[in-house]
Amino acid sequence: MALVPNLSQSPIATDSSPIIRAQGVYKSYMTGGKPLTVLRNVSLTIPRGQFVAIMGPSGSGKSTLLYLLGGLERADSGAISVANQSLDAMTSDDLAQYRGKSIGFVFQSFYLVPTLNALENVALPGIFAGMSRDERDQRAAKLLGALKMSDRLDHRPSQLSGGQQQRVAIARALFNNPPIIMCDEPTGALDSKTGQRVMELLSHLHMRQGKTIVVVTHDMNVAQYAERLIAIRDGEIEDDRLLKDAPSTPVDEPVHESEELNDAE
Amino acid sequence: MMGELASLAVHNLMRARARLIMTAGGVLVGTTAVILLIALTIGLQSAAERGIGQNNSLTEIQVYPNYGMFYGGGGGGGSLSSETDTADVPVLDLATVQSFWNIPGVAAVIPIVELQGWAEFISDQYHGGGQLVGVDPRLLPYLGVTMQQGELLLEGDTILVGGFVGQSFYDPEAEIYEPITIDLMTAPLEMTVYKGDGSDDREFDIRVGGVIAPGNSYDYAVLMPMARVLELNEYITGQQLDPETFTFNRVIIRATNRETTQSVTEVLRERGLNAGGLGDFLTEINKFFGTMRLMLGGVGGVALLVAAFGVANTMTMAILERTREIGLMKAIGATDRDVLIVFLLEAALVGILGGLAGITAAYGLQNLINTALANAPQEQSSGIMFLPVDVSQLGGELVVIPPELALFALALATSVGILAGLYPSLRAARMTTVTALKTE
Repeated sequence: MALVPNLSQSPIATDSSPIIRAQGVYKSYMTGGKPLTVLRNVSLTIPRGQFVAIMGPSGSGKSTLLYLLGGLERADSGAISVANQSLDAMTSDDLAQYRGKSIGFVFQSFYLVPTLNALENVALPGIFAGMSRDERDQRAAKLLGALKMSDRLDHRPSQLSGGQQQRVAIARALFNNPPIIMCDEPTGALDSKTGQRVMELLSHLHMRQGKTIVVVTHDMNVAQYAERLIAIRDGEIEDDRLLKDAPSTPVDEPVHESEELNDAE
Repeated sequence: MMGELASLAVHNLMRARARLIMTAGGVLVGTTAVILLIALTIGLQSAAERGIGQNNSLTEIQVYPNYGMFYGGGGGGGSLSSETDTADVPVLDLATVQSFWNIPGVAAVIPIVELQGWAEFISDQYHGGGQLVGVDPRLLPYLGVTMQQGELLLEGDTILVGGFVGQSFYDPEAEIYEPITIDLMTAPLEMTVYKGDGSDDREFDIRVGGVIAPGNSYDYAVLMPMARVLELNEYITGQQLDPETFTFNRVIIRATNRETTQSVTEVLRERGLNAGGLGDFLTEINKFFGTMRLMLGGVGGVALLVAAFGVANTMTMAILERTREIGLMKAIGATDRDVLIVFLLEAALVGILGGLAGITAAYGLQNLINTALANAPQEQSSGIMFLPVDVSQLGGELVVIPPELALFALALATSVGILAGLYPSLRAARMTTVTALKTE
């Protein structure tokens, strides 16, 4: 191991440097001509390398909070900063770059492009990051290999099972090696056993690579993989507590070089 | 980056092939219509130009004194007139004609003297005629004519005849006029010139030194050395030639090219002279075909406009179907501009594909039409009566597609694709990421 810790990924810095910081965030939508407040005065801090579950019933605003933190939407008021960068001041191009470089999204219904094969789906973020085709394909193949999908590279999403599709989506989220993975009901479309495996994979990414992971769910079985649980109700944080301690000695290495990752299967 | 987005656009197009083919098919029809209709006017125009005359005729300017002002409608042929006391009215006297050389764009100045009376040509029992003109033998090369027979040379008692002179003889004894063709190069030939008051005539033996190839303004002309025509005019009018008051009947000016023909003509008109030529007619013809091209091109343009709606419709559908994908692209780092470019490229590619197919179809139809026309019986192909076109001049080339026209059509089809795709693409680019993602 290097003597100087890699601050961008090492969980050694977990407690000292918050990677996500939200302060007094409000968000409302217009529905039927009337504003509906979805988030009111939400403040939270997520340290680098933490695995956080945000729970709440549907309509509680948990997904909206995730979208705001991920730069998919803008808050009406309040301040959000990620890795010491304020999202509020960003132009839409800056936000796009932020989403591409700093965040990997995993969605409930995978959002794979049906006409692209697994390899091309994983490599998609590379197009917008300006990578060459060779570089993209190589990287995507490595990522899929690490997720035990080497024999499915040229399969279309329709030829893959739900669990396999979600693994392709996770590989895509990891493509630009972002420090933060944000998941919106990642197991919502999967049976419980497959969902469990997906959660084990995320947990593995957290433990082995020190990724900061934020999972939105209404499923306690999913939330139990997290170190910290934030409960939201009616747009406000109702409860916020640690479930377990941060992993003691995480290994800092990119996922596609990790042999052990395959154990997650 | 652009290349990567382009390959994504190509991929997106290929996923709905049937729709791509139909949409591009619309552009194909429009492009073909634009090309063929414009190519038709080009073919007709060049046929019309060939009908008007050869290139040499088009740089020729005929200059006359302004008869209307000068002679008060007294008719032509007053070259030996003594009325020269009119300094402000331009006449074709020696000094004036000499000054024509100084007009920029003039390649040659060829003064012409016409016979003041009537000359008849007789070969055995057959009679014929022609427009007898005197020209300086040294200026013959500047007439811009080629010889069908003999040499372009005037010496001694030789004459040169236009291509149709030998075909216009007749038998004065015959009951019905019937043109008879005489080979003037070999047949014995006499010329009779009548005195102006009809009191006397003279006969000359004449030798034809050459026949000018037909297809120009000399088809019915008989060329003689100017000195001989001047002598004959003295005989006809009974008046001595006075160098002080002498004026030419007309002057042929040869310009250096088509453009200078126009400018030289204008200079001459500013000097109060009657100047004009086939170039003027051609300018009118070009104006006519220019208007026709706009009209027919417009008709093709309508077809292309319809195709544009097809492209717009297809792109709108594609964006509706792929809304979630647009959201996903944005979520993984695509900027609004990236999304715009991908969709615009798709629309442009539809235009390019349709344009290329349209060009291919147009060339195919060109061959088909021209071949059919070349093989059609003459009576049928003379149906294009409303155009100033000699159908026999078409030479199987009714439709002419120059490479510039094909390129123009391709550019037009591409622009149609881009313009039609602009609004849907902007809509896609401006979609809110989350809204797009949540769309079912």
